Amino acid sequence: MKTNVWTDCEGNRRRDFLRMGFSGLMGLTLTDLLRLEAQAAVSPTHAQAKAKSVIMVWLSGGPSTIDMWDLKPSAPSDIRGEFNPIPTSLDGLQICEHMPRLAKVMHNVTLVRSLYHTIPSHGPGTVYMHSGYKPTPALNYPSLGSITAKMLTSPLGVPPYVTFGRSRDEAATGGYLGSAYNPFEVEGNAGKGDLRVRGLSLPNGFTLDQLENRKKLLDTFDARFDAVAREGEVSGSLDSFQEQALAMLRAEGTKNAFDLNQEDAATRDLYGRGELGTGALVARRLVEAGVRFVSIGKGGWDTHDNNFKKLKETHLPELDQALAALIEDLDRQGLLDHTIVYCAGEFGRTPKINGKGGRDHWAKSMAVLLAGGGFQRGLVYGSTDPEGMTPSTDACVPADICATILQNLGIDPRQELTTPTGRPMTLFREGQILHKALA
Amino acid sequence: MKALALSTLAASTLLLAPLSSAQDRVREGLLALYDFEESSGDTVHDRAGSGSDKPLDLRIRKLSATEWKNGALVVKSPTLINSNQPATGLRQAITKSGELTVEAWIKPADEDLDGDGPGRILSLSGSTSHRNFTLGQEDEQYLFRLRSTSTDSNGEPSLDAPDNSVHEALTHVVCTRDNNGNAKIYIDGKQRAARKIGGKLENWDARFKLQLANEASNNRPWLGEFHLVAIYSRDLSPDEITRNFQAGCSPPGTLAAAPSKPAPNPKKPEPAKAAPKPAPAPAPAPEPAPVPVPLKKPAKLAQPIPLPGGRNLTEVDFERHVMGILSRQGCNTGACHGALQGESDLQLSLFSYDPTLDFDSLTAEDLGPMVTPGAAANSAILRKPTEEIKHKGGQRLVKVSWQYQVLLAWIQSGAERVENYGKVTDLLVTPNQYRFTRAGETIPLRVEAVFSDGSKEDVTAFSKFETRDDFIATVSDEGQIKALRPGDTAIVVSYRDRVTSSRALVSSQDSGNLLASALRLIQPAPASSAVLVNYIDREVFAKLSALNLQPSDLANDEEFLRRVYIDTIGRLPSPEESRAFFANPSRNKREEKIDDLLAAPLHAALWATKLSDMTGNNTAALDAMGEKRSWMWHDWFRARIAKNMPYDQIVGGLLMATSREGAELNDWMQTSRQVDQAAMAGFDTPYAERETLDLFWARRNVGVEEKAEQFAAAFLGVQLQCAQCHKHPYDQWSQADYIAFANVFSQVKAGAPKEARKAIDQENKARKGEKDKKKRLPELREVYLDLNDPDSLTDPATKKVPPAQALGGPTLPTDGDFRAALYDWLRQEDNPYFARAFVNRVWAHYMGTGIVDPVDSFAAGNPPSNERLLEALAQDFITHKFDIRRLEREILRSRAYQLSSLPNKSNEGDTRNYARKYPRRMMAEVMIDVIHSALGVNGRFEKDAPQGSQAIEVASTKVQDGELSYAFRIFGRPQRTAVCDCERSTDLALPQTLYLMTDDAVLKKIESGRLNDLLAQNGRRDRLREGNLNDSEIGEIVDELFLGALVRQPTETERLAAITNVRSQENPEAGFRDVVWALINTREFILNH
Repeated sequence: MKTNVWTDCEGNRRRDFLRMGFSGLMGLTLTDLLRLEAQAAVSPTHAQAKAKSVIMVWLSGGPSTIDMWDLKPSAPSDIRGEFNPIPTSLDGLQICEHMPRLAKVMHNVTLVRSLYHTIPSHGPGTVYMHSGYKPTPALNYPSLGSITAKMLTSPLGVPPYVTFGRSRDEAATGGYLGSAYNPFEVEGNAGKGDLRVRGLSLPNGFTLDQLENRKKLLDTFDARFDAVAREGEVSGSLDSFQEQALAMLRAEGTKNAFDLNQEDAATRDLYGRGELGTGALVARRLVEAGVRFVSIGKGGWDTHDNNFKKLKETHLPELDQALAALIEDLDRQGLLDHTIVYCAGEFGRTPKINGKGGRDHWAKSMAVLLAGGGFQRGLVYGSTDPEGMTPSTDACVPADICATILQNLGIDPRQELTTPTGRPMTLFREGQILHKALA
Repeated sequence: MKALALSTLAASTLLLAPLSSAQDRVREGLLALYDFEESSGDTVHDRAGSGSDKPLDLRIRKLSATEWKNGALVVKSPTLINSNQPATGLRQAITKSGELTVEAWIKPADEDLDGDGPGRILSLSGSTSHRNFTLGQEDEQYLFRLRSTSTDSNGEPSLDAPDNSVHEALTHVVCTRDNNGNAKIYIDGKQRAARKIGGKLENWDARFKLQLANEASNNRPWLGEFHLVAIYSRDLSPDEITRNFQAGCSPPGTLAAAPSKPAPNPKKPEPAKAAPKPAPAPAPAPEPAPVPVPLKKPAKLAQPIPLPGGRNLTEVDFERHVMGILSRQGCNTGACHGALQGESDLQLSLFSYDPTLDFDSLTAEDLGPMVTPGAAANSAILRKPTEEIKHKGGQRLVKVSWQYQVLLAWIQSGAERVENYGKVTDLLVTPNQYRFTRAGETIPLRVEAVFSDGSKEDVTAFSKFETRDDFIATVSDEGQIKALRPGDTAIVVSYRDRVTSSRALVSSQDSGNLLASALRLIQPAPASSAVLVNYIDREVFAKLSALNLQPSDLANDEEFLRRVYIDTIGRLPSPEESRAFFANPSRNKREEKIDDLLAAPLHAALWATKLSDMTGNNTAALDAMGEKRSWMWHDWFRARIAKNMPYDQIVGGLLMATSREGAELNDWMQTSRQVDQAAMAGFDTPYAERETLDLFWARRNVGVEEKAEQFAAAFLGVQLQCAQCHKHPYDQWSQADYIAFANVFSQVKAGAPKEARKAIDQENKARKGEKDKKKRLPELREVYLDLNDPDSLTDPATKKVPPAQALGGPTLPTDGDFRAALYDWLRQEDNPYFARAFVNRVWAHYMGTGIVDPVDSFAAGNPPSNERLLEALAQDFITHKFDIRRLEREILRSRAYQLSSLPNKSNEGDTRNYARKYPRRMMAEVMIDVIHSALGVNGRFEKDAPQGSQAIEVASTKVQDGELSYAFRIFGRPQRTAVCDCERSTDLALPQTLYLMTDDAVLKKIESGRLNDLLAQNGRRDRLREGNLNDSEIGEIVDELFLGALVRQPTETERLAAITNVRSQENPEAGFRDVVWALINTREFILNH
């Protein structure tokens, strides 16, 4: 780890806790020190945190939000599309007829209809939405999940940031915060119910006893190296990571989160047993175990052709069931108040329908759903013009959403961090808090 | 280079000891000092010890003509001893002061020297008739020629000492000249000649090198002994000359390199007339254009304001003082009023690079004035920071402070600005280096600014101070350094937009260490009788000596072998290779192993990977065949490293690339087709045979700015990104510098040049038309030069296109390929970046941390930890024509590289002086290859590289193999999208630990690899299952597993624990798996050490 000490804007020196720790504050483990640093890093607003966790539902490919959340029934038919709006549990709000279950939870969510950005391309658009920043070669910005992992603590043995699916490897990473804040990845087959966090599970048939035995052998072989690295950053970190790793392997909480047999059949049916439903239920259980940021999702939303058939027959029914169940279930269990549910994709789709019955990439307007953790219950934020081309009121950008989510988590979006080159970086200097969307 | 003898070592250890007494030679104004204590080698070191300045070392051009003798260099027959580069710093200091002293302790070989002209003893000159100065001997007299506006280019008329002044004995000869033109010659402390040499020295020629014993043209030899040579930027007084004469010429210890010598009186630091600029100094830049003397003067204060440090401020100036306070108080930082859009109605230039903007902002009427001269105390600029009225930035000032008084006085005097009165030309800090001998000791820094009107002012109170390592020393807001713990750190000093630094060395208090260290070194090391192997060791150990740090012992063969394999070829030695090496009785076996490894194919692959990182070999930015293009890119570098092509030529091939390389259009199209077809079919393409790397320029969405930033970071070690938008906070670069440099890259385009468009379009039509998808080649694009319509950047301030300019260097010719002109600049011997940046990278690769660290952050605010070492490496690299393999070999064979990682009490806290080997993480690719070699399995990467490849050979950043791509990600392999070395993560992280503990693929390899092979031998598996494998056989297997993973034998305890584990497991084979699992999870395995 580099030990650059630069002065920030305020003229404060960033105390290097790691360095001080190993030579000065004896008795504290690295974990303690990391926690101290995290606490020091969190601004006073920490106490006012409204949310503890985030579940991000990622619709990879770019969902056609004009057919889902922001229908334009009065627009010409080549824009309007095939779907009809239906009323919802929120007075005056209508959404797509193929999302009837979601229509019943809209009184509990904030629907943002005025989000836009400038990159209608999958890779960089995904990075933009995950980090709140346009990608630039000068600096890799961390994803929202990585920032959360860095700034908030999790119980020992619990990974702070977990992602399902690997379609957006690069967008979900730690950027300038370092690979230490990359997500833990879920692997396995949701349909078959054998999900697990990659690297967090013992091999089949391997018992905890066997693990303890190996650990004893490891300690014997490792003792000699103490002379080389009694203390010091590199060796100390490794020790601490081994402790944490073993704690995670021993811990039941996270592993249990994947054991859906502990849920009754009715709950499983509520969520649905497909990829998205299983993921959503596991996500709820992970959040209960103390995970700070869970990202689930399903791809296939890149509907350049046959948009309406695909949405109607597969995409919308699965999303409708899983997302509505998640919001409902979280609420029923009293978790929604401190869990943010955020459903989005990298961009929206062209209001104009193309020759193949599809819609193409469109970043100039899109809708996203936010629920719980300090967001208003029952609110439509912003609007688009009659043809859905661009926002017409309360236009907002990805940085605004990210900043607002962080603030709800008790993380000051104006917090300054230091990049590996020593450059001071404000998390979100430009991102505006969506005050009207807050409860 | 020859190894130093032991006696030399003892001498030099003592010599370098920081124990020298303080009553010694005059140091004030010292520019260059040669004490001839080297005892060997072809380099005469400049030991002026001015710390951050580049020492002006001299090279003996014909070593056989000389002989080293007890602190002297004997010139026996004609040779030339001179600097590699013009003596720029020396010249600048002397022309600035208008004074100089030239001093020599010599013993002439001939009392009566015959020749066509005087023999040159010491000379700053270019030929027999062009000089700045020369001390010479003609017949039986010494003479001094000095060029000024009143003498000719040959320095005539000269000042001559009396006849018969030359004797064949050790003689002290000093020539001085003061500002009024009084020139004198002293011999053995007594004045022997004087004459007026009037005029100014401003006509000195910038091209001359400094030479001893001859003219630059090699035809005015002087023979005799050199014992000491010194040059000062001032005219030494007769008393000072007496003092130097009495100090003698080389009593050991008094002339020490003194990288750490405290200033004579820290309370009253010397004025440091010739204090060097922070390294790296910019290329010899044209002197700043004289700024017209302002008509107005700033307001005199009726009542002087006392400043901290005792000085009274008698006049108050906007630029010098008001802006100084705004900077010092942090008002103009990026998070406050320095933000691009300002903050709360006040916008200041970031880190105060623009006085006009700041003055206008503070005095503008439209937004409500910040200053109210009529009612000064009511000014917002005073009421806000004192929080009399609400201030978002909190309280920054108190009313009783001197800062408040200065601001108030400025407003009371009318809040005016005298344009350019505060234009800084130089910033000096004294002491620029200081050695503390105990914790708790403090010294004050003094900062002096030189302004464009020639005046100087103590600006300590207006400066900001930061320590780079507050573990070693802290610095107060007033500039008081306090030593905390042994080690060293830079103290970064900024005054408004200027940055410089001072180095604080805190030596260990344990006086026993030095002696112990010397004694330990004198004992012959196990594998080699030479202790200090080369110039690298000399510099590394000199610094350790100054810090009183005891180096670790030489690594043993096991430690050395594992390390050198990982560092050079990215994998572990096989048990067979290890055994052969340990058993090899040759005294030179380490050197032999180093040579073998440097010539190994994987070594070239490792550097191709590193160069791919540096140059942005990003698969996603290439075309539809991106994976193969990345391979070609990697291969191009690899082929060059494999044949040890000189570094400058490799960079030239990248820099000056075009697709056609001068070939006819049709020939090129045909070749391209062949290359692309070969790439479509496999990995074997002839791309590496191309002279140039056009792929660097063919990437999509990579603009002129990025190319410039990437080139600067990769090959100059400079991070320019900050300067794209604003002045660099820790360096000198302005937005104008950035744009002028970026324009060097503006002529290169990728696509189809006008005259070839038709043909290329046609070719692409044909390519697109291919029905078989597997044969369809990607679109052909040509990288070409467009001299007529470059993609130039415009300076937003002037709205003009600035001419292309080398970074901090000359404006480049306006015709032809700018890149070629840049290339010429890069290869100049005195280029301040090119060689230094690369040797630092290579050093960092092998030593774990750069002399400048991070390696792509050369900046005034980030000085090297050991300037002499960096310069020595660079000079050696230049002298040997950018021979990379030689550079690597010198590093690898040095004792510094071969030190053990086992620390001692004195050096366990060391992190930047190389007193021990630092344990560190490996690159992602290397980690994977190391795991595979430890487990005795072959990686299978055929989706991403030819069959049989190692991970280090994988070039693409879009890795197809899922396992590999996962491992790359958690071990931090970069996507190569960012212009920063930091994109390759070297952090340790929890998922890495979990990977080694639980990853399915790793666990399977534990079973299938070496362990499986060992059990398959001699029916061991069956006997194991039957319980018939005895302890000694189990022990043999354990030994082999240890050798494979840790490159050593197990200790008795370890072996016993392993055997017991195997015996106690129900399934003894699983017991062996436990052993391998435990081995690869040890820190000893995971780290390179």
